[in-house]
Amino acid sequence: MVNVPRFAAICLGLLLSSCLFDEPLKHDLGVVPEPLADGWSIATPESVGLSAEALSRIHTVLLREDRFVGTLGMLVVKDGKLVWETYLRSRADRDQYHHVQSVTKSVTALVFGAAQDRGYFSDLSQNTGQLFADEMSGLEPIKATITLQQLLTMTSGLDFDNLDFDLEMYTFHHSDPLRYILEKPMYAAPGVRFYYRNADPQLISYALQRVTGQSERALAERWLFEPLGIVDYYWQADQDDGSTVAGNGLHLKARDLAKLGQLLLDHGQWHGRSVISQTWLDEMTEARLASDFHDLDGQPIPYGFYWYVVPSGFAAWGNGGQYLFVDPARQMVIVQIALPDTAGLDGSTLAEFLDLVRELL
Amino acid sequence: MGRVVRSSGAAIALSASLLAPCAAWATPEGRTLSAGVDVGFRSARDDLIVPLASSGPTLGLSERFLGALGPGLLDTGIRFQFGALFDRSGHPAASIFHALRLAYLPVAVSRPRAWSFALGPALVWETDVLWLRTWDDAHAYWLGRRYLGLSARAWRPLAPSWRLELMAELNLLGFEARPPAYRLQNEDALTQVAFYFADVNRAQRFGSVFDWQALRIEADVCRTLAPGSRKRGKSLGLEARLAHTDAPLAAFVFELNLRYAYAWDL
Repeated sequence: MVNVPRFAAICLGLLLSSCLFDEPLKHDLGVVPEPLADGWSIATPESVGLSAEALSRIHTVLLREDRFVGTLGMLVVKDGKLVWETYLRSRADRDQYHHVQSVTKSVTALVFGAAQDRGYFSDLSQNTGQLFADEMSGLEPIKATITLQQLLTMTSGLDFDNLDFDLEMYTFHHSDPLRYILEKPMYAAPGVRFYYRNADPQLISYALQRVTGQSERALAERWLFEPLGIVDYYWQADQDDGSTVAGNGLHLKARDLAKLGQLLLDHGQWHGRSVISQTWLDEMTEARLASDFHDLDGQPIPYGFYWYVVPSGFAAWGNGGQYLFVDPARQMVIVQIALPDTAGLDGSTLAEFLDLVRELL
Repeated sequence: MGRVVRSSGAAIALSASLLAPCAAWATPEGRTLSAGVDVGFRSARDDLIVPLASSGPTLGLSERFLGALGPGLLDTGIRFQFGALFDRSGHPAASIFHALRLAYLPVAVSRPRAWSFALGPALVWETDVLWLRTWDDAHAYWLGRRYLGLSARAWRPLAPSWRLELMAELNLLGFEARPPAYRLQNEDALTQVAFYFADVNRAQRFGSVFDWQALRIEADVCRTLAPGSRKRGKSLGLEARLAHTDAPLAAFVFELNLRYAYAWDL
């Protein structure tokens, strides 16, 4: 008769033998930036007064597989110089653009500011009724009263949750995506309550396109990326109407993301060339309301125009752990890139990131 | 006689425990339709997202027709499996495998009391889809294959109403579908059934067994329930399946299945 224990042991052995092997999730690929012809000057941390020991401690945390689990890379710029740069999965991540998720919103605010600087918008009280008169036809009158300022602060009142947004807007197709957004119900009157979602920046993108006649991506290329020498990037467009995906469609290299931070430190200038006005940067980074996101003490993080206002500066933050942190007092920019479509992994909240780098602040 | 049956039973059980599953009752002159359920253990890894293997149990259903056609055997089947996998940190993953295959195997050697062999071409459309929600909650990762392969089958009687069958199948030429190395679109239509059958098989590239591999080996112990009549039968077997590619980055699926099937003569 069959020997049952032996049969079970053989089966168990076969099952266990079917497990594939893992490889390390992270690697120590060094922290010294290489000079590239990309507009960045390289220096050592010590030469700009940064503690090598503090950076080493940050690196040790990043290399742990149970901390900052989705992190792909991080870099530090101080006094206009790239002083520390590390990648954890592959060196190729330095030269590849990455999906920066909702950091896109912060870049949308910069593009909007560039348009404002050029006089395309009279003021931020312009509303959807004025901007999208045709598309508002037949909709609730209150929807025509949503102002640009409300769109820039996530208080439009349009109920279009981010859990549904991408799938409904970019996977399924609509003949008129703008109208599709505007047809969504209202969760509150405009200007009443912060509700973080992609619909509001998408309407800003449509507003940019409506007043300039060009897509937001084309405007960003001309007003922002070309002056900064950002050439290798991708910005997703809606397949139905070609509009730019303003809430989370941008893919940038880590070093190029740092350029946007340096632009803010240098009062809207890049290598002496004026790109955007300090007036707009001040408006954009002014704390205007409490966001839905919290610091480690449980306090809501203040929000400006698609930028988070944190104690030592301001930050752009994208899903999964994409960060662009700007500290004007210390003339420092810190960038992290991470796996873009994760949520809940260690290191994917702005509070965790600020806690990690606090030794540098 | 009793001793023969006992030793045959032991051989059958040992074969079933050492080899791999799936069913075939039909002798070259017969036709059977079988339905099976399988449980197994799958391990899958796709370096496009994370170089960690996710492993865990699977449950599957299959249906197969096997019958004589001209000088050979027509062997067709469909299959669907679902797996609940976990990586070493306990992050969950869902794994789906579905397959459609059609093989025609001219019988090379047919011996009533010893090994018989058949060998021939197989057309296979099969897809492994992996959803690693923790690492990427917006996209799936897949290995889709449509290929012409080589299928071989051997069978021999073990005792009255008992038979052992061995089968192996390997891709030769065909099309492979993989996700792009870098995902530009925000989200796959993961909630749509069509995604798992249609979308994942877009963007195919032609290749051979030297580029990517799909190998399946199985062994079945088959028993006719009504000796002599071949009205019904059942089988138990073990199967090993491997899928591997290096493009755009390495991905593997390896699994072992224990399959139980019931068959009807047509």
